[in-house]
Amino acid sequence: MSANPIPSIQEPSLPVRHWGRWFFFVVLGLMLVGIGSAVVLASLGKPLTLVPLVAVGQAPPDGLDPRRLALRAEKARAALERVAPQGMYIVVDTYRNKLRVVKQGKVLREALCSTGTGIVLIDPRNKRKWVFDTPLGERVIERKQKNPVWMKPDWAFIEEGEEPPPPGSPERVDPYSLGDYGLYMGDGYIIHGTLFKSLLGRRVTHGCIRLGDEDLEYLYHNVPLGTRVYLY
Amino acid sequence: MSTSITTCLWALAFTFTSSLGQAEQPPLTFGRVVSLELEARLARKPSIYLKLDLARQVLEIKARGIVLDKVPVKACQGATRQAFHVRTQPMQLRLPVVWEVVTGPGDTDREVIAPTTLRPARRGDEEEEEPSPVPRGTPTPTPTPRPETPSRYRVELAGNLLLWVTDRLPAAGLWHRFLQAVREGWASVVRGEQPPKDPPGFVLLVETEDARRLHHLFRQGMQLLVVAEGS
Repeated sequence: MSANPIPSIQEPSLPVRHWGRWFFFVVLGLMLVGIGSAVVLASLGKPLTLVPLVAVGQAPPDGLDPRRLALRAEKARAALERVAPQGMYIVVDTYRNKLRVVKQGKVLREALCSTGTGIVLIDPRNKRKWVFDTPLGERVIERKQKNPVWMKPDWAFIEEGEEPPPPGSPERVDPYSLGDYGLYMGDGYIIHGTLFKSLLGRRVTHGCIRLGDEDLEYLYHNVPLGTRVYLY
Repeated sequence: MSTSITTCLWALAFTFTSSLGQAEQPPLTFGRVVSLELEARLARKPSIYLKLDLARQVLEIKARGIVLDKVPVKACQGATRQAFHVRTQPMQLRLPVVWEVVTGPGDTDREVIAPTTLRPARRGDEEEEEPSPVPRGTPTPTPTPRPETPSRYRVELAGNLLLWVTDRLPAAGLWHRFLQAVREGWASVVRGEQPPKDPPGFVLLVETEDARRLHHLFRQGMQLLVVAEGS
């Protein structure tokens, strides 16, 4: 018989086995240290945690008479009805730049408009500040004007980097920018026309509400004085 | 015979109409009456106010008691800062309640124009041309593009409360909270930063577009009536 041809499997020498074991323990140790450190660090933090919300109703006072409760509800409902707008009113969505004319819950007309940018302008001379917001809340159509003339206020010049002329100066008179009609809502806020129709639907104004010609004409002829305007 | 039929028909009609009435208005409870009274008080002022109904999951934009617009709410949850290993407890909210905005994104997120110098105004006779309506087909000026309105923001409410309006809830699983806690702990040890100490708050989850729509409404003084009435 010849010598056995099967090659012998060389067993790792003792130092290699030794290092393998060491390697395992080092990795395990590092992992434990890492996890331990993470847990210690985590205990220092206070992460935002979302929890379910449970609505708890108010407990009625003892011995509350149901008839008295009904009376209170009726009184509150009547108060709400009293303040609600009667007849026609205007609603302006300053985010979507949409104006709606509403009567008894029915939308009579919807129009694209432009509203305030919300930009803040600061006068470099005295740090006076203007915020070009369309005001939120309720306003009233106080006055209607055909061919309105805009008396440019100080900010219209400062915005252009110019010194404002004295009050009443002819440089302040602008008979074009407001379009054919103006519906005045107080404090200088007007629903008016625009030369720049392509900007309708965007927030580009100094707080006034700009409308297209046809919609403005509709408003001028159909919205009576005293109509409430809700701006949100 | 005919009398009994008539009586039955009347009874049926009464049952039907009263059930219709109930569908329109929630039953009169003490909470419902208080919420009506609170709203009547808010509607006295010429301001916009918000009404959040947790049961109907809707946020209404209102004035003078009328609904101007509605925003569907996907979820409303409590938010608190606590150690990651502490078991979470539901947050109780006593309703109805009116929250008032102290500071919101409608106050703070604003572009500022501040010219440094002013030149003398052009005199009328120096104007190059008289302003005139733009002829058809003439390109009109376009404004500077404005940064997109954020869809995630926080609102500080009176009474040391916070309201987060978001289009995506933060990851709230144990693993995410653990990682966040490790990050905060690391910042505390290495950079000496203290973990944020936000007061308890509420998270309102809405669609991205709706969060942007509400952005400018959350400004100082805005009142938010929170109820859970159903309809």
